[in-house]
Amino acid sequence: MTSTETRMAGRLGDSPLRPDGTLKVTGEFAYSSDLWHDDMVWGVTLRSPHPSARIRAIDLTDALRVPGVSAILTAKDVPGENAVGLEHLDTPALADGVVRYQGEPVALVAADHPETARRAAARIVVDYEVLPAVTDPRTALDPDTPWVHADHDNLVRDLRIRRGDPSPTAPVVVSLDFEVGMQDQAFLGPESGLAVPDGEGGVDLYVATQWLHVDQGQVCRVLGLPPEQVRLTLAGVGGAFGGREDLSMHVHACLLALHTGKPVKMSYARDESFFGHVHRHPAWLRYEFGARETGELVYAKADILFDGGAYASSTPAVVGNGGTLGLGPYRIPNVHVDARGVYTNNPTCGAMRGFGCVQAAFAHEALMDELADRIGMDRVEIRALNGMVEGDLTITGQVVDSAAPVAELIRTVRDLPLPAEPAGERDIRELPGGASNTTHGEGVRRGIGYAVTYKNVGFSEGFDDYSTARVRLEVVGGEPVATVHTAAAEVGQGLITIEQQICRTELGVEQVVVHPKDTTVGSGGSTSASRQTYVTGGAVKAACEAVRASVLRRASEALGRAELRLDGEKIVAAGGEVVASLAEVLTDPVEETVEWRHRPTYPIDPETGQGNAHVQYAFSAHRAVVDVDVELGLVKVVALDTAQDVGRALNPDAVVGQIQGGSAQGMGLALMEEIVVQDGIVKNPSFTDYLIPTILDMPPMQVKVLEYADPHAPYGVRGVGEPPTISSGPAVAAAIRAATGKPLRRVPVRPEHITF
Amino acid sequence: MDLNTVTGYRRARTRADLALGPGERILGGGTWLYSEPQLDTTGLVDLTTMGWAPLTRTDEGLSIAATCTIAELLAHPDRPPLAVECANALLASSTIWTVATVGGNVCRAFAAAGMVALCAALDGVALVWAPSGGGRHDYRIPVAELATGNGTTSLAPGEVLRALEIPARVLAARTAFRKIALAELGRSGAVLTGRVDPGGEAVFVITAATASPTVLRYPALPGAAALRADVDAAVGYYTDPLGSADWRRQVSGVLLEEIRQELA
Repeated sequence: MTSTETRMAGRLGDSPLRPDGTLKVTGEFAYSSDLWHDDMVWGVTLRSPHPSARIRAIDLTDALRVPGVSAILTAKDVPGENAVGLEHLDTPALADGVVRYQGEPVALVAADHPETARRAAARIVVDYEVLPAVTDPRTALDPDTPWVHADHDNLVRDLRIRRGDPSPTAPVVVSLDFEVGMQDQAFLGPESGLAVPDGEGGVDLYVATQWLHVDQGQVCRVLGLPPEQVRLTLAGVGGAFGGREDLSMHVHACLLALHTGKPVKMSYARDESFFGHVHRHPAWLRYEFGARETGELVYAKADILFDGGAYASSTPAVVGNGGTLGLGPYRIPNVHVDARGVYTNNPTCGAMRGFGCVQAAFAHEALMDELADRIGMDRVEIRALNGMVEGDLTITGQVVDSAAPVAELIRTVRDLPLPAEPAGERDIRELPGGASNTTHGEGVRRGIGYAVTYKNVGFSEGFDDYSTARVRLEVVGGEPVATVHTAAAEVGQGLITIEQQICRTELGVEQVVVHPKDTTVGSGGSTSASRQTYVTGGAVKAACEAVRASVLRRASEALGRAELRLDGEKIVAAGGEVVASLAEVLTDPVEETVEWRHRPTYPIDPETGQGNAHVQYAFSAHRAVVDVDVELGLVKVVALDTAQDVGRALNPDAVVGQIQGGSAQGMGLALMEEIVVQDGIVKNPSFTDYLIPTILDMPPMQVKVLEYADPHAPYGVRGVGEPPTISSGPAVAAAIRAATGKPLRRVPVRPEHITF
Repeated sequence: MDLNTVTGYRRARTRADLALGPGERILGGGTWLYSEPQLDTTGLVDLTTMGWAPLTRTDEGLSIAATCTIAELLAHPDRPPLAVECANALLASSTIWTVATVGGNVCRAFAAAGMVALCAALDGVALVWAPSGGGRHDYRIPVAELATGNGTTSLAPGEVLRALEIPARVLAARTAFRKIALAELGRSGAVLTGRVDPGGEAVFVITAATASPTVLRYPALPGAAALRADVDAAVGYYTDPLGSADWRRQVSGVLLEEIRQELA
């Protein structure tokens, strides 16, 4: 028997059906809010109505009298350390004596029905002494501003980058101030989970999250339990976008479960969800670019301020990205950047898709347009002229050691066909306001805008960024079956599909089972920073290679043959002869577990900001075409086209899906998405008042995918998920500026910014 | 949403049944009542079992029962002008339309309430039943005055909205409509209507942009400057996360001018 090259469907480069796809579109997928246990009780959270207050007393008397209540817990009931946090342990699991933002958890109630628990929570009497709130981040560091945390000042992180001439000059200088509002991740599946006590002092938590092992560590700390007694399993996740990187109900449900001895389910309503997770940092940015009259950038200065809110969350990393990447994908010899994150009594801000780069991109791209206009240069060509190429240095002095096709990306989107110019009487559905019969086109003007960006992939600045994969190969029912087990969270991005594709490709088996994501295998790291296909993909690849080596070693020993290889589900000799089936060799299962790391990164120098902070960069460009009714302030995005280098598209459909979704999220920030906070109070915690783009708002997209493989990454992949969120919004803002002629130095661009 | 504080439910058959006990509330279509926790409500009194005819056409005009659903309003051959536009401004699914009542929407009186916009645009009058006893009497009040703010009305405790009456003289009027929202299917930022009666009187109404309806009346179609001046001088424009007061004033002026021209 002679082998032929086996090509089964569902390998890398294909776009197989997602295992969760049909269930999701038919409404049968079990999200975390669908979790159920027959004898469970319901947990709810009492939250602070004040952004800053001292808790003088908590009276539970009336609440405990509500029939059906099985437990009410406050900070004094925390058995371990009452402190959680991704980077700083500054966040109480339950407020202890002081609250620092509106919505901070103060008490927990477990009852036989969620409404009963809510009624009981409403009867808890908290005696607050309202304190002055720090709500303006621009004065948070002033000497006379109160400290949000008693033990240190309001500075979370201060990052500086100094490169080249400290006092540069240039013949053309442009500067601007920019402001970015607070965006919400707006995932559709609210925070929810189920904690089940094991009867031996431990607990199993089923929860929608992004990073099981870091969750586990934090829950253990608060419960005072070792990891063996706190086991986490990923429940169905309805989107994340960074908003599930911090804890929400995890600790609370476990506290109630261990206290009552019963399974406890917690599921936030939409309004509570707005208080249950962190948001994208609002930012204030002051930029200055200097350039030659021929367009080459000479220097850049930036002062970036992020409002971190009450607790640190991911603010240090957001400052890190905002600072090190905040001047865009350009060659700039002289650099002076200050980036800071501060504490306030506003809602806590942390991880969100794009992570510090989103805010900065609005500023640097607006400034590139202004520079082009000042010297009379084409807005695309000035980006192409200054765009990084492979081998260039970033502003931290790091060599970009794989493709950096900035010029190609921006020219590619420019050259895509434009939508037809409006002419004659128009269908109102195509106009701003659409079918609402708002305008018939009287005040409508068209504008086109461009933007480019780059984003780091994976965790940076020396973080030990790794993932673990366990792959088992065995015969089930006469067929070889691979089981892949990682703790890397599937949040809707398609990781489980990629894990299957890698196994099929590396092991040649058709049947690949994805083990539930849990903490019985090593950490997969966070599903964030566009990293899972790269890092967990790398781990799965490495585990498969180890399994394959074991199988072939076993085959060699059993068959007395050397130089064997796997082809499909067959063992093939060097000459192509099939010497055994895979099933024949797999008399016992083969299992390998691999912990895989990408190349190391390093902390940047605290004085100069120089260093190899990042492992990989991903580049994208957008072109937006908008129609703006300049009298009414409404915007219709007519087209949003993009080009992105993805290294290698392991799953082309998933790549395009990520690009489309990310573009929508960036467009949302440019046009409508903002959590409005006044004096520390959230004014719009609902999807009625917090708008996100719908299918009516999304224009057709032309997506051009470039594949310049990164030689340092598994399969050459490059992170995909975040860049489109970064460059889409600035392109939309630029297009609105082009249509209106207004400077528009704040996003979201609100109607009143256009009409006045 | 479960209302598990509710322990009582009564079907109202007679006017006497509408006397509310402690903790009781009138139930219409329930589309709002069932959408949010109602922790202080212990009983519901169902108004829809009163058996009122949804719409009645008389020589005086059109009487719309408070229990008339929006779907019934739209399907009725005698539906008033602007009914479809104002129903669409409600941004509700057809499922909601089949249970949500015209009276319920008026009594909630949100600034963006489409049925308030409809009634105010057509000089609609609310017939209010006073509670039995206590010496109070039934009365009529223009809907534009019944809605006193964003979510507030002039209704006193125990009073029940019986019907909304549209005078016959406006049913033959020429009308025009504009709506603006930050998102195409978002909550209305401004709803503007214009009406020219057969006798030439012109009425322009602003809702959603002002906390309660703003009615501008003219003996004849006004000029652009006069209308704009009145729009600018109107009070009650408000700011919320979906739009500033200044923007609402600005777009009210622009869109009412379009309406004025359409009616000219």
